[in-house]
Amino acid sequence: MGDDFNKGFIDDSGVYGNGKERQTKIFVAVCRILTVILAVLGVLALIKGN
Amino acid sequence: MFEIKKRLYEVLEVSGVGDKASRAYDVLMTMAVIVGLIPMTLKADNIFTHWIEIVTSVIFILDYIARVWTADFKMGYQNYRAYIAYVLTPLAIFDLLSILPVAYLFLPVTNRITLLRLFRFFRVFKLVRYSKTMVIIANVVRKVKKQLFAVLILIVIYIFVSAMLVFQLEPNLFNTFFDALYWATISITTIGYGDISPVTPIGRMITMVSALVGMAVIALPTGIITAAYMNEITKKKSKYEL
Repeated sequence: MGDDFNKGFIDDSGVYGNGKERQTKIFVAVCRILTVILAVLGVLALIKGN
Repeated sequence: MFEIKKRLYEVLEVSGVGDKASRAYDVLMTMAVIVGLIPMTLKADNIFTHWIEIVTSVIFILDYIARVWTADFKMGYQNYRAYIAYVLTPLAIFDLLSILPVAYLFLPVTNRITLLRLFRFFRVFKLVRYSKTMVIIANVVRKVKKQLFAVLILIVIYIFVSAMLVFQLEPNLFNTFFDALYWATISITTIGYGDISPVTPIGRMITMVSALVGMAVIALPTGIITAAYMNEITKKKSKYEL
């Protein structure tokens, strides 16, 4: 319990946060951005190629 | 490090309920596979296909490295043999083949191997991981592989026998034995292009028999896979009912 508490942090608003949650959010955001980039590239390639 | 590796393995595998990271990764990989195949539908490459190739190749290379790194979790034993065993699994081989076209980008234009580009086709197999139905079909094919192999042998023997018979009986019709094999395959599968057709009564007789028996032989794999698939579905249904 103590170790887990040390891995977390308390932000300015006083909310207890966890580094792992933040990493997950960043990972999800990167995945979604790449998904959108790929979708756009795919559509553009199809338009230009036909 | 163990925790990171375990979490990475969970993300790489098909997402469980509520695992946002794994779900986002599955969506990204599915999109990368679909978009990565777009260049194969176009006659010529353009600037966008070039970027698609770069982005998808980087994603697939990182995915391959991560999958090999977490192979001990996948294979279920913490040993160096897990890595070797994983690399030799069909899906890992397809993963490796699907990232080979990246070499195409770095080769000089004069040395570009067109065949290498066709390896993009192997990316389709990456989709198998992300569809439950595809996983069931892959398992079914694995279960009945002996029966399918036996039928395949039967088909090959039948094609060769038909080709040899017609090659001997219609010597003027076929220039090479390959032509006869082509004719036998087209007849047995009931495609019948009609570009090569027998003219003698005995040749026509062989064609008739070949077409009739061919229908039965070609239908065999369909029957085997359908029966095994239905069996698997029934098993799954009864498992949920229990």
